[in-house]
Parts: sequence; structure tokens; C-alpha cells
Amino acid sequence: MSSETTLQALQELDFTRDLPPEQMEKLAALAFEVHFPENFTIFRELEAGELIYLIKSGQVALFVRVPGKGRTTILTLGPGELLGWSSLFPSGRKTASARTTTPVEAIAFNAAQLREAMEEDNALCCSLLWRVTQIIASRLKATRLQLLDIYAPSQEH
Amino acid sequence: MLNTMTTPTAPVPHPGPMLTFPARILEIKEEAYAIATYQIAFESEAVRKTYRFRPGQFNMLYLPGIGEVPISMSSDPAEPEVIGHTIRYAGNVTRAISRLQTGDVIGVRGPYGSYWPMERLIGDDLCIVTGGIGLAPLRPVIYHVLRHREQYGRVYLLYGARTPKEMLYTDEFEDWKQQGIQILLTVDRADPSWRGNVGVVPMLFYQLRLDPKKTAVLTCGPEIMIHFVIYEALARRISKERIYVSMERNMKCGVGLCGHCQFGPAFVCKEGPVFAYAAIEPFFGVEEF
Amino acid sequence: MPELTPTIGAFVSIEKGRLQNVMDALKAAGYTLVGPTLDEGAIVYDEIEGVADLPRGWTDRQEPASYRLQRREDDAYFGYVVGPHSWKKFLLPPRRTLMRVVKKEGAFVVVDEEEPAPRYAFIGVRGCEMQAIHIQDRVFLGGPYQDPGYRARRQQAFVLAVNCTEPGGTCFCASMGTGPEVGLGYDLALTELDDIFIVEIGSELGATMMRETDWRPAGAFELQQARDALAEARRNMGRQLDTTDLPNLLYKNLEHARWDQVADRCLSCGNCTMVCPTCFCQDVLDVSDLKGETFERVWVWDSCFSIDYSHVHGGNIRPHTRARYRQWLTHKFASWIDQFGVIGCVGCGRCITWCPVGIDVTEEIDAIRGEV
Repeated sequence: MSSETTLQALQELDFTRDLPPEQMEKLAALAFEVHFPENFTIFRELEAGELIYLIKSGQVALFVRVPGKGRTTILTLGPGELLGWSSLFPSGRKTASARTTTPVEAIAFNAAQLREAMEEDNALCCSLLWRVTQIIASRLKATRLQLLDIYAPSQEH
Repeated sequence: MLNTMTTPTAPVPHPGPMLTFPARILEIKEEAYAIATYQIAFESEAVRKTYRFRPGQFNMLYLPGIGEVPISMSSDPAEPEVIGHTIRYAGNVTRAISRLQTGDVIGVRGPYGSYWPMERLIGDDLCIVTGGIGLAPLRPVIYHVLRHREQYGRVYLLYGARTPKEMLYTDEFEDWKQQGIQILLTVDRADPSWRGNVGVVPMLFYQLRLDPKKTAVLTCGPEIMIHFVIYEALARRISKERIYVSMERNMKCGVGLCGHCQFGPAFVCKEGPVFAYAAIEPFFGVEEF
Repeated sequence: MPELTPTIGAFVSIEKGRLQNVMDALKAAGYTLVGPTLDEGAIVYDEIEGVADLPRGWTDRQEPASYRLQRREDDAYFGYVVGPHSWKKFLLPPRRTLMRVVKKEGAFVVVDEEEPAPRYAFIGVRGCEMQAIHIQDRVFLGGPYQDPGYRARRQQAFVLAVNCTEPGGTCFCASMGTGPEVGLGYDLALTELDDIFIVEIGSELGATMMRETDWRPAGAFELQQARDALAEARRNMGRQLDTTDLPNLLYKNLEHARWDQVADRCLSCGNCTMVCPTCFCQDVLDVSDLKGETFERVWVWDSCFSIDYSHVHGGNIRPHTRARYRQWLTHKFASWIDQFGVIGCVGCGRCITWCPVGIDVTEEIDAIRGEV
């Protein structure tokens, strides 16, 4: 994998775009490209995760299995989005299953290697945690919004 | 201070601001469950020919003996002789409207309220973000953009609904895409046939690359969704002056004489319903204000 | 005897009983007199025929949550302040027809009925009330949409004002800049002394109504007495309201702890909005006859304290009393200023008197300011 193309990809993705050049290079050195075909299960709910992805193209559906109801898609992720953030945490287990709905190209990182780089470089650690936290906050708000069923027809007046 | 996007225009001079004009229903189109678009035309030719509205404004629709309800126009402002209102059946008056048929007559007065500032936005990229029936008061914006496509940069429509069946105007999306509107759709709950995005509308921002220096956000919908949209827009460094919000409050008169629609110093029927977020920011997050 | 018609701006004196002549002149000119009179243990505003209907020799003892009538030691015609009614009872009647509609051939016709607006002569308008009328003028005649009914009633109204020489128990007009002396806008203004009324001629119409009354130019000593009485009234105000930094004081304190505290006391009964001379919120009711052929739209008074007031589909914007009280107070003392260019409160004290639990707006503003 050419680390030049991955560097380029990181420079274009929103998640990494504004990182200082030295941090960007460290990430590029750890990153590698992956391709998934359509309908491919990337990981399953409750698996111990090792990889974190930044999607370059395509769509991934996150779903949970509800006994008696089958699979329910709770969220889809597209280009520019982070997949598998829970791997960043050492005892992280996947909170949902992920399956591609189209062919997908992504940049992947090994979580253990990423953690090591973050422990050695405080600035990098800070930059990444900042961004990941932002995403988790958005997803939490999104989940709450979905829970509130805001479009439901209202009470009679 | 509050925005200055208000130019109340009356159809013809009349003795009092509450007087209503008969208008006939020409067409009723079902859009989704309990939602339909009514195309109406004023009975009086003089009124028909002088009536104009801007995107974002509303009329007060009247049923004798039942009452009035404020409904935004959802049709093309360049074709004001036939006016479209997309109505969800939710209360007494709208449920009475649901029992009407083509040829029936209702009372209409307007247009009232402030409007989406299309002139001010010339040259900008537009991000139209809405959900459910919130697309109705924004459809006139899309029609205006399509008529003046070269005046605007990139134009995105981020639209969501609870389920795929509850989306409005889906038969027009292909046409809009062909004419240069990038459309991202999402649902809260997918059905087995849905292959698109699942999740709330504000999450669609993650799929865009926006230039904060020239992007304006126009949003309408449940207030809690608007909060989230503003959060995501500000996180992408879009300025408060470039975020426009259509607010909803209880309206009885539509002309600032009854007091009901107040939101802080603003009467939503006069200074709103369209506001620049910068103008309402001090009051917007306040609980039960 | 000097000319029959005094000049505008002149101060004249009349024997108190001669007030009847002025009232007779008004009636002869087609006015319906409305003014203070006793009813159900209070001094209210209603139609009157003459001075005999005035609550002569009565006064009111007002405190938070308390209104009592009491006999005076003298026979003063206007020895009281304001009661539960205000002139909005006549300028903005609690229930009035907005429009009539008749169904016709599958459509409908708006019947533009010419209901003649009554010509009222308001007898006994106080300084706070004069300002309240000016404020409602701004609401109903000052914006892009105007109320034609209000305009008709207002343009025909004759104002006979009265300067207060004794402040009421809950009054604070001095600190609001609305009294005790009546500001501009009256046709005649009276100041009651022991034996005479000093009458200031405010307009040509007022001057005309004085023609049949035996008047003489006011003497210097009498004018001095009047001035002293007003100065004394100003000094004796029982409460005051600090208007510094309004509206920002309230805009910046929308989550102040005081709102919770007042919400514990407030019953959300809406009395304050009913008695307040500037509150104007109204609802529109739709009524029909039994046959379903003739319909009426009717304006009725409403209150921001009512639970339905802030209903939107999807729920209620202000389900809690805390939010509704905050809405009322911040509208009156803050947003009103942005909306109409003046503060919405005139310092009449009615809301304090008629609140069943005695909430005092001057105290609430002080508490938010941090001075309680």
C-alpha cells in the first residue's frame, strides 16, 4: 500500500483534514486501504474489535439483532464517516454489527497500533480524541432524536 | 436586533386585516398518510391577479364556523394565481379541511410573515435541511432556485422522515436532481425495501464537504431537530448570520394583534416565521420560552 | 363673566357640583358617559348618568391581594384610585364581533356590518390609565395591521382625566413616569381641591363641553394648592419600580432562580392579565347558528396564563407555570419595549391588588436584580 495515496486520502477526509502535517504523516504510516464487496459483514455486535475505519466511498449499515424482530438497521454511514470507534478503547466491544450495502473503500487502522502512537504523542492523542468525541456526541444526539419519534402524528387538540 | 425580511403585501386594500377572501379548491393531492396538498385559487379575479407571495410566507385558511389555521405556501412563487398548501391533518380545522373536495370554497387571507432571503443568498451555496412536513415551506425555495439556478452555487437538500412512506414530493426528486440539486435522504426507521441512509437528518452533514465562507443553511421542522441542525452547522463553522430557521408558534390572528405567537420580542407572524439564527440565538435554547 | 369657551391650555375653576353641567353637555352631544361607580364592593367603571353615580365620599384600601372600600371623612368625588376595571373594557371590549359570514351557493359571503361604534366619554381617567390608552394605541394603530374597530372607538372617545392627589396602596406611577399628573391626551383634566375642581382645558372639544358650565379663571393660590397636592402625592407613593437596564435585565436572567420561587406561589389564574390596562392578548372564537348557515368570528380576551395559549401541534410550548409567569413578566417589562418602544407597565398596581396570592411585580423585578 502506497503511503502516499493514503496520505492524500487523509488530506481529503473531513476527519483528518485539519491535522498538523506531522500528525497526518504518523497516521498515514499506520493506515492501510481496504475494499469490501457489497453485502459483506465487516464486524459483528459484541465482537472484540481490532480495526477502525474511515469510509472513503460506499455505504455501511449498522444494525442490531432483536430477538423476535430480526435485524433492525439503526444507522447508515457514508463517505467521510468513522466506523468502529469503539475499538479505540482497549476493552471495546462492537456496539452493533456492520454490513456493507454497496462496495466500500475505506482507510483502516489497527487499534492497538493507533493507541500506541497516541500514548507516545500527546498532541496526536488529543487531536484524535477530540474528533472521536465530537462524533460520539453527534451519534448520541442522533440516537436520542430517533428515540423521541419527532415526526409522530400528534395528540388531538 | 431582529431581521428585516418582512414586507407584508395585501392582495387588495380592504377594511380590516382579518377579512378573508373566498378561494376555490382546484386540486387535492395526497402526499403521505394524513398529509395532502391543496391547490387553491381566489374567486375574485382582481385578487388572483394581484396576490403575490415569497418563499416561507403563510396564509390564514378559514372554514366558516370552524376556524382558521396558518399554513405555509408550498407552491412556486412565480405562479401565484394557483397557490399550493401542504396540510397535515392534526387539529380541528385541518381535520375539517380533510373532508373538503375539489370545488369547495374556503377563506384565504395573506400573505403574512417573513420569507427566506433568496436575494441576500445569491452567490452562496445552499444547504436546505428539513424533515417530514418541514419540506413544505421550503419547496418554494427549491422552485425559486430551479428558476434561477445560475444565481446559486452548490445546492443540497438534506431531507428525512420517520419512514420512507412519510416522505413528501418524492416524485419530484429525480427532476430536482437533474437540475442540479444534490439530494441526500434518510429515514429514522427503514422498511425492508429501503436501501438508503438510516439515521436522523442532521447526521447527513457528515457526508458533505461544505465551505463555511459561502454556505447558508435553511432549516425548518420539529424544533428539536432544528437545535441539532444548528449544532452541526455551527460545528462546521457556518456563521450564525447564515443560518435561517422557520419557527412555529400558536397563531390566532396572523397579523400581530392577538399576542399568541410571541417568541421573546418577536411576533412569529410578523418578524417571523423565518429568522436568521443570529437574531434569535439569545432566546432559542431557553426551555419553555 | 368671561367668554363662554375657555382657551386650550387654560386652567379654570368650577364649583364641584358644576361637574354635572359638563356631563350634561357631553350627553347632549351624544356621548355615553362611563366612569367610576360602586358595584359589588368595588369601584368599577360602568355607564353613569351624572355626579350622583360617582362614589362620592368613598376610598379604596389596596394592598397585595386585598381590596376594601372605606368611607372617607370628606365628600370627595374622586378620592380613590383605580379598581378592577380599566378603560380597555370599552376600547377593547371583552367580546366583540370581528366579522359575520353567510353561506351562499357553495361559497360564502363576508357581511361587512356597519355596527356604529359607541361614543364614550370616559369620566375620571388617571395618569396611569392615560398612558395605558396611549400604549394600546401603539398596539392597535401603530403597526402595519390596524384594528378598525379600535380606531373607531378610540377616535370618538372623550377623555375627562383626573389628577391623583392621593396615591393608592399599590400604586407606583411616579417611578414609571405615568403619574400622578396625567400626561398628554385628555380633553379636560381635573384636580380636586376642597371646594373646587381645577380644570385644565386639553382640547377644543374639551373647551366646547365647558360652555354651559359656570367657570372662572383659576386663581394663583388655587393653582399652587393643586401643584402642592400633586407633589405630595408623588412623595407619598408606597412603592417604586427601578426600570434601570430594562429590557436587558430580564433578557439576561431567563433562568434566574426567582422564576421557580414565584412559580411556587402563582396560581396561573390570569387575574393580572384581566385587570392590567395594557394586556391585549385575545383569541378568536368561531360560532355558528343552529342551521349552520350564518357564522360569526368573535374576538374575546385571552390570557397568556391559560394552558391552551401556547398550544402547538405536538404539545404545549409552556406547560409549566414557571414559564407562563416568566412570559408575562418579560413581555410586560422587556419584550414590550422592543415591540412598541415603551415599557408595558404603567404602575397602576392592579395586578398586585387583584393577585389572590399578592405577587408584587416591583418585588419580582427587584429580586431578579438581586436586591431582595
